Amino acid sequence: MSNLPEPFSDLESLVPLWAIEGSAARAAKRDSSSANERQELFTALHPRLSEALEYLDQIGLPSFTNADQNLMNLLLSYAHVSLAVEVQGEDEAKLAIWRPKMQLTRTPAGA
Amino acid sequence: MNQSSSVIPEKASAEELALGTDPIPAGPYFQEAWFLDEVEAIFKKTWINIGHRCELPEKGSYIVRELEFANASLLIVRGTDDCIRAFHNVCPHRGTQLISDTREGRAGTFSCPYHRWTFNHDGSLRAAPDFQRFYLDKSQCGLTEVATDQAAGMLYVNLDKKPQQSLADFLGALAPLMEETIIAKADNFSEYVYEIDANWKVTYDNFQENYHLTFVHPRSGGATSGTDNPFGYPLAYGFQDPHRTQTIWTNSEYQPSNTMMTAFSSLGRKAAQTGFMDTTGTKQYFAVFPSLFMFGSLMQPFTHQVYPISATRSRGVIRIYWIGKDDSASIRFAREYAMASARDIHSEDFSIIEAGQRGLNSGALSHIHYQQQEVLCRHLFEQVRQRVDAYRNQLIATDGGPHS
Repeated sequence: MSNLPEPFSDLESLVPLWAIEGSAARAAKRDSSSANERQELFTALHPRLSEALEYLDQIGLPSFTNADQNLMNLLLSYAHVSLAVEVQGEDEAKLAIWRPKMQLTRTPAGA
Repeated sequence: MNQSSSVIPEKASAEELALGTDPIPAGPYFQEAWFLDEVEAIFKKTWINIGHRCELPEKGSYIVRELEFANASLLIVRGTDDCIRAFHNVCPHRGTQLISDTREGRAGTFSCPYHRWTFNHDGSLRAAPDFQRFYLDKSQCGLTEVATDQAAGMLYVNLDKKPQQSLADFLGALAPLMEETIIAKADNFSEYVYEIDANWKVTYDNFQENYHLTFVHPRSGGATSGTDNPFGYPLAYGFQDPHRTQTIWTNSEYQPSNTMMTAFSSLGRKAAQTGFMDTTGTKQYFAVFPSLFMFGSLMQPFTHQVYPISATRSRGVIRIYWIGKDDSASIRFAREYAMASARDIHSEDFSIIEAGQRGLNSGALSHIHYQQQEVLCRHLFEQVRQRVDAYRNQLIATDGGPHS
């Protein structure tokens, strides 16, 4: 059984590293990941973002299967990682030293 | 860098110049004696934001908040009468803290873990084992209440036993503008918290001047500076003593990333669905005395409360407020992105604030300098200085001198 909904099964290899529960854990993974790992997630999801959100919007949060939740968590990890790739660029490593000082304590998705 | 700007006034207003142009003494930004007098003159006598109404959704909902500057722990509870009250988290029997292991929850009563004195939501003593052996009446044994009130959804406390002003009078003209923001109607939020080795004013001042934006936020600050406003200065400053405001300028030429567009479009639609649009109130960056910021932007409506811990340490609590739970994947994604992008920008400030504090701590400087566009920092200092001077003069008049 696939860990992702069928239309996104080609993204399966991203699940072990990036389908993460909890905003703080996702933020921490951004900090501890390599630039190559972040780029891999970004390159795979950037062109699929709208398609994936539309797919999950059709299903609705209360009806998510485990596979849907995995896709949601990939997208939520992408929310963090896209900032590293699209905004911070070469400054990401420097900022990763200080960002954990801002401890995430609460989010609607679950901190 | 081009020093001029086509959208920002070249000269300081008369109101700004009236605050003075002299250098500011450096000592109040690191000296223990000054800090202790600030606590007495300001933080123990002023309305301090402690949270939001949405944290107490039901009868019996409570939060516990630590105010290190006063060595105080507060218990704030929504009672069976729906009234929100604040108490010292201290059993009147022998001082034991009632709640020391949680920050929030829901309870029918509150029991002291030491001898099981039990209190109602209104702070009255409900029961105490073997109470007949005390030389007391139960009516003398309630929790010590702290003044509390609400404005625009925000909860405030005042540690003064007899506050000199109501919260409404304290906020004055800011209050109706704050009511226009999403924050006033919010029912949940994202939160991140930091502790920093910096005086509360050093920390706070960083967030009320834009002079540093292009240097400290060269990559993330694209929306806040541009060719016609290279430093990203505000369009206007407002002074409603002891508070102040900025009218935020945004760069109309800014090209957000596709990801940001996706997230912020969802948040914009959600704001419109819940009846919010840009108004005077949503464009004001409120600096509420002594150490609260509130900004009702439709995309990232946030508050930032700086709590003093010591002369050279403080804690910041940053929240982005939302109306309604996540109701779709798009909204969940947008809120995660909005929180993460705000957290990136605040993280960028962390090391530079601490570096500033280390320099001040050395005592190398007798004075620091604020330019025209750092006038809000000057205004805060003048508001603080007035209160500390008045407190010290009162002490001299009554018992001989301040802490120093």
